Amino acid sequence: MEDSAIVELFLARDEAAIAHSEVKYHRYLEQIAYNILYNRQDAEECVNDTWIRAWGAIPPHRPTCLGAFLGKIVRNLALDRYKAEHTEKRGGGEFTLSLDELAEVLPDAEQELREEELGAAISAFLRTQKPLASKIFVCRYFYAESIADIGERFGFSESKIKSILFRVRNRLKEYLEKEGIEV
Amino acid sequence: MNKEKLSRAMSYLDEDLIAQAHEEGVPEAHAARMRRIRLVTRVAGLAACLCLFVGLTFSAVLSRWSVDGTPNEDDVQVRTGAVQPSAFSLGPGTKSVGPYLTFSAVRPGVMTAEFTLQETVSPTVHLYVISPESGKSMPASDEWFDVVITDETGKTVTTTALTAGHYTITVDYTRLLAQGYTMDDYAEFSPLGICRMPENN
Repeated sequence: MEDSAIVELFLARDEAAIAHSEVKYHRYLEQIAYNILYNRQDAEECVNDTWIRAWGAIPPHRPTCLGAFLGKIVRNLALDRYKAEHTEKRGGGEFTLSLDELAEVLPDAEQELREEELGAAISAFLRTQKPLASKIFVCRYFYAESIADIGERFGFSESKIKSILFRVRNRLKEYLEKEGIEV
Repeated sequence: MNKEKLSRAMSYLDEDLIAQAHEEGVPEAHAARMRRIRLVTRVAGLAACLCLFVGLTFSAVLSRWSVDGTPNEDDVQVRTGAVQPSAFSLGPGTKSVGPYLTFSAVRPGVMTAEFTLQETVSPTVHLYVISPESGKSMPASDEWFDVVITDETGKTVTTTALTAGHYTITVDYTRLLAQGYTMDDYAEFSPLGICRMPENN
Protein backbone atom coordinates (compact mmCIF):
# COMPACT_ATOMS: atom_id res chain seq x y z
CA MET A 1 0.00 0.00 0.00
CA GLU A 2 1.21 3.50 -0.82
CA ASP A 3 2.40 5.67 2.06
CA SER A 4 -0.21 8.31 1.32
CA ALA A 5 -2.99 5.73 1.64
CA ILE A 6 -1.61 4.50 4.96
CA VAL A 7 -1.40 8.07 6.25
CA GLU A 8 -5.04 8.58 5.23
CA LEU A 9 -5.95 5.53 7.34
CA PHE A 10 -4.10 7.05 10.28
CA LEU A 11 -5.93 10.32 9.79
CA ALA A 12 -9.24 8.44 9.60
CA ARG A 13 -8.35 6.69 12.88
CA ASP A 14 -8.51 3.35 11.14
CA GLU A 15 -6.41 0.75 12.98
CA ALA A 16 -5.67 -0.91 9.68
CA ALA A 17 -3.09 1.86 9.32
CA ILE A 18 -0.91 0.11 11.89
CA ALA A 19 -1.34 -3.29 10.25
CA HIS A 20 -0.33 -1.90 6.85
CA SER A 21 2.57 0.04 8.36
CA GLU A 22 3.75 -3.09 10.08
CA VAL A 23 3.70 -5.08 6.86
CA LYS A 24 5.63 -2.39 5.02
CA TYR A 25 8.03 -1.06 7.62
CA HIS A 26 8.46 -3.57 10.43
CA ARG A 27 11.76 -4.94 9.17
CA TYR A 28 13.07 -1.48 8.29
CA LEU A 29 12.29 -0.13 11.74
CA GLU A 30 13.59 -3.18 13.52
CA GLN A 31 16.90 -2.80 11.74
CA ILE A 32 17.20 0.85 12.79
CA ALA A 33 16.56 -0.07 16.42
CA TYR A 34 18.82 -3.09 16.23
CA ASN A 35 21.70 -1.01 14.87
CA ILE A 36 21.54 1.04 18.05
CA LEU A 37 20.66 -1.62 20.62
CA TYR A 38 22.20 -4.78 19.17
CA ASN A 39 19.42 -6.76 20.78
CA ARG A 40 16.58 -8.24 18.75
CA GLN A 41 14.10 -8.36 21.63
CA ASP A 42 14.71 -4.75 22.62
CA ALA A 43 14.52 -3.69 18.98
CA GLU A 44 11.20 -5.51 18.64
CA GLU A 45 9.79 -3.70 21.67
CA CYS A 46 10.89 -0.36 20.23
CA VAL A 47 9.08 -1.17 16.99
CA ASN A 48 5.91 -2.05 18.91
CA ASP A 49 6.12 1.23 20.79
CA THR A 50 6.60 3.04 17.49
CA TRP A 51 3.08 2.11 16.34
CA ILE A 52 1.64 3.62 19.52
CA ARG A 53 3.67 6.80 19.10
CA ALA A 54 2.70 7.09 15.45
CA TRP A 55 -0.96 6.56 16.32
CA GLY A 56 -0.72 9.42 18.79
CA ALA A 57 1.17 11.70 16.42
CA ILE A 58 -0.95 11.28 13.26
CA PRO A 59 -3.01 13.42 13.33
CA PRO A 60 -2.21 16.23 13.83
CA HIS A 61 1.07 15.48 12.07
CA ARG A 62 0.79 14.49 8.45
CA PRO A 63 4.11 12.95 7.39
CA THR A 64 5.21 13.28 3.80
CA CYS A 65 7.65 10.40 4.11
CA LEU A 66 5.98 7.84 6.35
CA GLY A 67 8.98 5.51 6.47
CA ALA A 68 11.36 8.29 7.52
CA PHE A 69 8.83 9.58 10.04
CA LEU A 70 8.46 6.16 11.63
CA GLY A 71 12.24 5.73 11.42
CA LYS A 72 12.76 8.88 13.46
CA ILE A 73 10.33 7.64 16.11
CA VAL A 74 11.92 4.23 16.44
CA ARG A 75 15.37 5.78 16.50
CA ASN A 76 14.46 8.04 19.39
CA LEU A 77 12.89 5.14 21.25
CA ALA A 78 16.01 3.09 20.71
CA LEU A 79 18.22 5.93 21.89
CA ASP A 80 16.08 6.25 25.03
CA ARG A 81 16.38 2.56 25.69
CA TYR A 82 20.08 2.60 24.95
CA LYS A 83 20.63 5.43 27.37
CA ALA A 84 18.55 3.75 30.08
CA GLU A 85 20.33 0.45 29.72
CA HIS A 86 23.68 2.14 29.55
CA THR A 87 22.92 3.96 32.78
CA GLU A 88 21.75 0.78 34.49
CA LYS A 89 24.81 -1.11 33.43
CA ARG A 90 27.04 1.57 34.80
CA GLY A 91 25.07 1.35 38.06
CA GLY A 92 23.88 4.94 37.85
CA GLY A 93 27.40 6.27 38.29
CA GLU A 94 28.18 9.79 39.47
CA PHE A 95 28.94 11.04 36.02
CA THR A 96 25.58 9.87 34.70
CA LEU A 97 23.78 11.26 37.68
CA SER A 98 25.44 14.64 37.29
CA LEU A 99 24.44 14.74 33.67
CA ASP A 100 20.87 13.90 34.59
CA GLU A 101 20.86 16.59 37.24
CA LEU A 102 22.11 19.13 34.76
CA ALA A 103 19.50 18.03 32.25
CA GLU A 104 16.79 18.65 34.81
CA VAL A 105 17.82 22.30 35.00
CA LEU A 106 16.96 22.80 31.33
CA PRO A 107 13.30 22.77 30.43
CA ASP A 108 12.50 19.77 28.21
CA ALA A 109 10.89 21.93 25.57
CA GLU A 110 13.96 24.10 25.29
CA GLN A 111 16.26 21.12 25.06
CA GLU A 112 13.98 19.58 22.46
CA LEU A 113 14.07 22.77 20.49
CA ARG A 114 17.84 22.94 20.50
CA GLU A 115 18.16 19.41 19.22
CA GLU A 116 15.57 20.19 16.60
CA GLU A 117 17.47 23.32 15.59
CA LEU A 118 20.66 21.36 15.38
CA GLY A 119 18.91 18.72 13.29
CA ALA A 120 17.67 21.45 10.95
CA ALA A 121 21.18 22.90 10.69
CA ILE A 122 22.62 19.49 9.82
CA SER A 123 19.89 19.03 7.24
CA ALA A 124 20.77 22.39 5.71
CA PHE A 125 24.44 21.44 5.71
CA LEU A 126 23.74 18.09 4.06
CA ARG A 127 21.89 19.85 1.26
CA THR A 128 25.12 21.69 0.43
CA GLN A 129 26.99 18.41 0.08
CA LYS A 130 27.17 16.04 -2.85
CA PRO A 131 24.18 13.68 -2.76
CA LEU A 132 26.36 10.61 -2.37
CA ALA A 133 28.26 12.05 0.60
CA SER A 134 24.99 13.16 2.16
CA LYS A 135 23.43 9.72 1.80
CA ILE A 136 26.47 7.99 3.26
CA PHE A 137 26.42 10.40 6.19
CA VAL A 138 22.74 9.69 6.89
CA CYS A 139 23.26 5.93 6.59
CA ARG A 140 26.02 6.10 9.15
CA TYR A 141 24.69 8.62 11.64
CA PHE A 142 20.95 8.24 11.34
CA TYR A 143 20.61 4.57 10.52
CA ALA A 144 23.79 3.64 12.45
CA GLU A 145 24.75 1.22 9.73
CA SER A 146 28.17 -0.36 9.81
CA ILE A 147 30.92 0.88 7.52
CA ALA A 148 30.99 -2.52 5.85
CA ASP A 149 27.24 -2.45 5.15
CA ILE A 150 27.44 1.05 3.73
CA GLY A 151 30.37 0.03 1.56
CA GLU A 152 28.38 -2.89 0.24
CA ARG A 153 25.34 -0.72 -0.34
CA PHE A 154 27.18 1.95 -2.29
CA GLY A 155 29.74 -0.30 -3.93
CA PHE A 156 32.78 1.28 -2.27
CA SER A 157 35.55 -0.11 -0.12
CA GLU A 158 35.38 0.44 3.63
CA SER A 159 38.39 2.75 3.52
CA LYS A 160 36.67 4.92 0.92
CA ILE A 161 33.54 5.18 3.10
CA LYS A 162 35.65 6.09 6.12
CA SER A 163 37.43 8.72 4.09
CA ILE A 164 34.16 10.26 2.85
CA LEU A 165 32.71 10.31 6.37
CA PHE A 166 35.86 11.88 7.76
CA ARG A 167 35.74 14.71 5.24
CA VAL A 168 32.00 15.30 5.73
CA ARG A 169 32.42 15.42 9.51
CA ASN A 170 35.17 18.00 9.18
CA ARG A 171 33.06 20.10 6.86
CA LEU A 172 30.10 19.80 9.25
CA LYS A 173 32.21 21.01 12.13
CA GLU A 174 33.36 24.01 10.09
CA TYR A 175 29.78 24.69 9.01
CA LEU A 176 28.40 24.61 12.55
CA GLU A 177 31.19 26.87 13.81
CA LYS A 178 30.56 29.26 10.96
CA GLU A 179 26.84 29.30 11.77
CA GLY A 180 27.67 30.00 15.39
CA ILE A 181 26.11 26.77 16.57
CA GLU A 182 27.77 25.30 19.60
CA VAL A 183 27.24 21.68 20.41
CA MET B 1 31.09 17.77 20.35
CA ASN B 2 28.32 16.54 22.60
CA LYS B 3 27.79 13.12 21.12
CA GLU B 4 24.42 12.52 22.70
CA LYS B 5 23.06 15.83 21.52
CA LEU B 6 24.34 15.24 18.03
CA SER B 7 22.91 11.76 18.04
CA ARG B 8 19.52 13.12 19.11
CA ALA B 9 19.71 15.92 16.62
CA MET B 10 20.14 13.39 13.83
CA SER B 11 16.60 12.25 14.59
CA TYR B 12 15.43 15.68 13.48
CA LEU B 13 16.91 15.49 10.04
CA ASP B 14 14.57 16.37 7.25
CA GLU B 15 12.53 13.33 6.37
CA ASP B 16 13.31 13.52 2.69
CA LEU B 17 17.03 13.21 3.45
CA ILE B 18 16.35 10.19 5.61
CA ALA B 19 14.12 8.61 3.00
CA GLN B 20 16.52 9.28 0.14
CA ALA B 21 19.46 7.77 1.96
CA HIS B 22 17.66 4.54 2.64
CA GLU B 23 15.19 4.10 -0.14
CA GLU B 24 16.53 6.06 -3.07
CA GLY B 25 19.92 6.50 -1.55
CA VAL B 26 21.29 3.35 -3.00
CA PRO B 27 22.66 4.29 -6.38
CA GLU B 28 21.86 0.86 -7.65
CA ALA B 29 23.38 1.34 -11.06
CA HIS B 30 26.59 2.59 -9.55
CA ALA B 31 26.62 -0.05 -6.84
CA ALA B 32 25.90 -2.75 -9.37
CA ARG B 33 28.65 -1.46 -11.61
CA MET B 34 31.12 -1.41 -8.74
CA ARG B 35 30.03 -4.90 -7.70
CA ARG B 36 30.57 -6.07 -11.27
CA ILE B 37 34.01 -4.48 -11.38
CA ARG B 38 34.97 -6.12 -8.11
CA LEU B 39 33.59 -9.44 -9.30
CA VAL B 40 35.51 -9.23 -12.57
CA THR B 41 38.66 -8.27 -10.69
CA ARG B 42 38.28 -11.20 -8.35
CA VAL B 43 37.52 -13.62 -11.16
CA ALA B 44 40.49 -12.33 -13.15
CA GLY B 45 42.71 -12.75 -10.11
CA LEU B 46 41.46 -16.26 -9.55
CA ALA B 47 41.88 -17.07 -13.23
CA ALA B 48 45.44 -15.76 -13.16
CA CYS B 49 46.20 -17.90 -10.11
CA LEU B 50 44.57 -20.88 -11.76
CA CYS B 51 46.54 -20.35 -14.98
CA LEU B 52 49.75 -20.08 -13.00
CA PHE B 53 48.90 -23.23 -11.08
CA VAL B 54 47.95 -25.14 -14.22
CA GLY B 55 51.02 -23.86 -16.02
CA LEU B 56 53.33 -24.93 -13.24
CA THR B 57 51.61 -28.27 -12.91
CA PHE B 58 51.68 -28.87 -16.64
CA SER B 59 55.31 -27.88 -16.76
CA ALA B 60 56.06 -30.24 -13.91
CA VAL B 61 54.13 -33.02 -15.59
CA LEU B 62 55.89 -32.45 -18.88
CA SER B 63 59.26 -32.50 -17.26
CA ARG B 64 58.29 -35.56 -15.32
CA TRP B 65 57.15 -37.23 -18.48
CA SER B 66 60.01 -36.21 -20.65
CA VAL B 67 61.93 -39.02 -22.26
CA ASP B 68 65.43 -38.44 -23.36
CA GLY B 69 65.36 -41.25 -25.84
CA THR B 70 68.77 -42.50 -24.83
CA PRO B 71 69.03 -46.20 -25.64
CA ASN B 72 69.20 -48.46 -22.64
CA GLU B 73 72.54 -50.05 -21.91
CA ASP B 74 71.04 -53.42 -22.77
CA ASP B 75 69.88 -51.98 -26.02
CA VAL B 76 73.14 -50.97 -27.54
CA GLN B 77 72.23 -52.32 -30.90
CA VAL B 78 68.74 -50.91 -30.89
CA ARG B 79 68.00 -47.28 -31.29
CA THR B 80 64.94 -45.99 -29.61
CA GLY B 81 61.86 -46.76 -31.57
CA ALA B 82 63.37 -49.54 -33.55
CA VAL B 83 63.47 -53.23 -32.90
CA GLN B 84 66.18 -55.49 -34.10
CA PRO B 85 65.21 -58.71 -35.77
CA SER B 86 66.75 -60.49 -32.84
CA ALA B 87 63.87 -59.27 -30.74
CA PHE B 88 61.55 -61.30 -32.87
CA SER B 89 63.20 -64.45 -31.83
CA LEU B 90 61.42 -64.04 -28.53
CA GLY B 91 58.25 -66.02 -28.70
CA PRO B 92 54.83 -64.59 -27.87
CA GLY B 93 54.49 -64.09 -24.15
CA THR B 94 58.22 -64.33 -23.58
CA LYS B 95 59.64 -61.69 -21.31
CA SER B 96 63.00 -60.23 -21.84
CA VAL B 97 65.04 -57.41 -20.41
CA GLY B 98 65.81 -56.16 -23.88
CA PRO B 99 65.99 -54.99 -26.46
CA TYR B 100 62.91 -52.97 -26.01
CA LEU B 101 60.95 -49.99 -27.18
CA THR B 102 61.08 -46.76 -25.32
CA PHE B 103 57.79 -44.94 -25.20
CA SER B 104 57.45 -41.21 -25.30
CA ALA B 105 54.77 -39.43 -23.36
CA VAL B 106 52.34 -37.48 -25.46
CA ARG B 107 50.53 -36.38 -22.37
CA PRO B 108 49.67 -38.06 -19.07
CA GLY B 109 47.80 -41.21 -19.93
CA VAL B 110 48.89 -41.33 -23.56
CA MET B 111 52.24 -42.47 -24.90
CA THR B 112 53.69 -43.51 -28.22
CA ALA B 113 56.60 -45.45 -29.62
CA GLU B 114 57.84 -46.15 -33.09
CA PHE B 115 59.22 -49.45 -34.24
CA THR B 116 60.25 -51.19 -37.38
CA LEU B 117 59.35 -54.77 -38.17
CA GLN B 118 61.32 -56.86 -40.61
CA GLU B 119 58.92 -59.76 -40.63
CA THR B 120 55.26 -60.36 -39.97
CA VAL B 121 54.27 -60.75 -36.32
CA SER B 122 51.07 -60.83 -34.28
CA PRO B 123 51.91 -58.86 -31.20
CA THR B 124 49.97 -58.57 -27.98
CA VAL B 125 50.19 -55.74 -25.49
CA HIS B 126 50.17 -55.98 -21.73
CA LEU B 127 50.50 -52.98 -19.49
CA TYR B 128 51.79 -53.39 -16.00
CA VAL B 129 50.32 -51.09 -13.41
CA ILE B 130 50.80 -50.46 -9.73
CA SER B 131 47.67 -51.29 -7.81
CA PRO B 132 46.54 -48.41 -5.60
CA GLU B 133 45.37 -50.93 -3.00
CA SER B 134 48.31 -53.28 -2.78
CA GLY B 135 51.06 -51.11 -4.26
CA LYS B 136 52.12 -54.09 -6.30
CA SER B 137 52.71 -54.40 -10.00
CA MET B 138 50.03 -56.28 -11.90
CA PRO B 139 48.91 -56.60 -15.50
CA ALA B 140 46.05 -54.29 -16.31
CA SER B 141 42.96 -55.67 -17.93
CA ASP B 142 43.04 -54.72 -21.59
CA GLU B 143 39.57 -53.26 -21.32
CA TRP B 144 41.06 -50.39 -19.34
CA PHE B 145 43.40 -49.14 -22.02
CA ASP B 146 43.38 -48.67 -25.76
CA VAL B 147 46.08 -49.57 -28.22
CA VAL B 148 46.20 -48.10 -31.68
CA ILE B 149 48.90 -48.99 -34.20
CA THR B 150 49.29 -46.94 -37.34
CA ASP B 151 51.49 -47.55 -40.34
CA GLU B 152 53.67 -45.03 -42.12
CA THR B 153 50.69 -43.54 -43.90
CA GLY B 154 48.94 -42.94 -40.61
CA LYS B 155 46.40 -45.64 -41.28
CA THR B 156 45.29 -47.72 -38.31
CA VAL B 157 46.21 -51.36 -38.66
CA THR B 158 45.14 -54.45 -36.83
CA THR B 159 47.51 -56.06 -34.38
CA THR B 160 46.66 -59.55 -35.50
CA ALA B 161 49.07 -59.45 -38.37
CA LEU B 162 51.67 -56.74 -38.67
CA THR B 163 53.71 -57.10 -41.77
CA ALA B 164 57.23 -55.80 -42.14
CA GLY B 165 57.31 -52.01 -42.00
CA HIS B 166 57.50 -48.98 -39.81
CA TYR B 167 54.74 -48.42 -37.26
CA THR B 168 53.67 -46.13 -34.50
CA ILE B 169 51.98 -47.54 -31.44
CA THR B 170 49.86 -45.32 -29.24
CA VAL B 171 48.69 -46.50 -25.84
CA ASP B 172 45.96 -44.55 -24.10
CA TYR B 173 45.61 -45.55 -20.46
CA THR B 174 43.80 -42.45 -19.24
CA ARG B 175 41.08 -44.61 -17.72
CA LEU B 176 43.65 -46.50 -15.69
CA LEU B 177 44.97 -43.26 -14.26
CA ALA B 178 41.43 -42.22 -13.48
CA GLN B 179 41.03 -45.47 -11.57
CA GLY B 180 43.97 -44.51 -9.39
CA TYR B 181 46.51 -46.82 -10.98
CA THR B 182 50.03 -45.68 -11.77
CA MET B 183 52.05 -47.20 -14.54
CA ASP B 184 54.79 -49.61 -13.81
CA ASP B 185 57.95 -48.86 -15.69
CA TYR B 186 57.40 -51.45 -18.35
CA ALA B 187 54.86 -53.04 -20.59
CA GLU B 188 55.00 -56.21 -22.53
CA PHE B 189 54.67 -55.82 -26.25
CA SER B 190 54.99 -59.42 -27.34
CA PRO B 191 56.73 -60.65 -29.29
CA LEU B 192 58.83 -57.53 -29.20
CA GLY B 193 59.79 -58.03 -25.60
CA ILE B 194 59.66 -55.57 -22.78
CA CYS B 195 58.64 -52.05 -23.67
CA ARG B 196 59.93 -49.40 -21.34
CA MET B 197 57.46 -46.83 -20.15
CA PRO B 198 58.33 -43.16 -19.72
CA GLU B 199 60.18 -42.54 -16.51
CA ASN B 200 58.15 -42.01 -13.35
CA ASN B 201 54.85 -42.41 -15.08
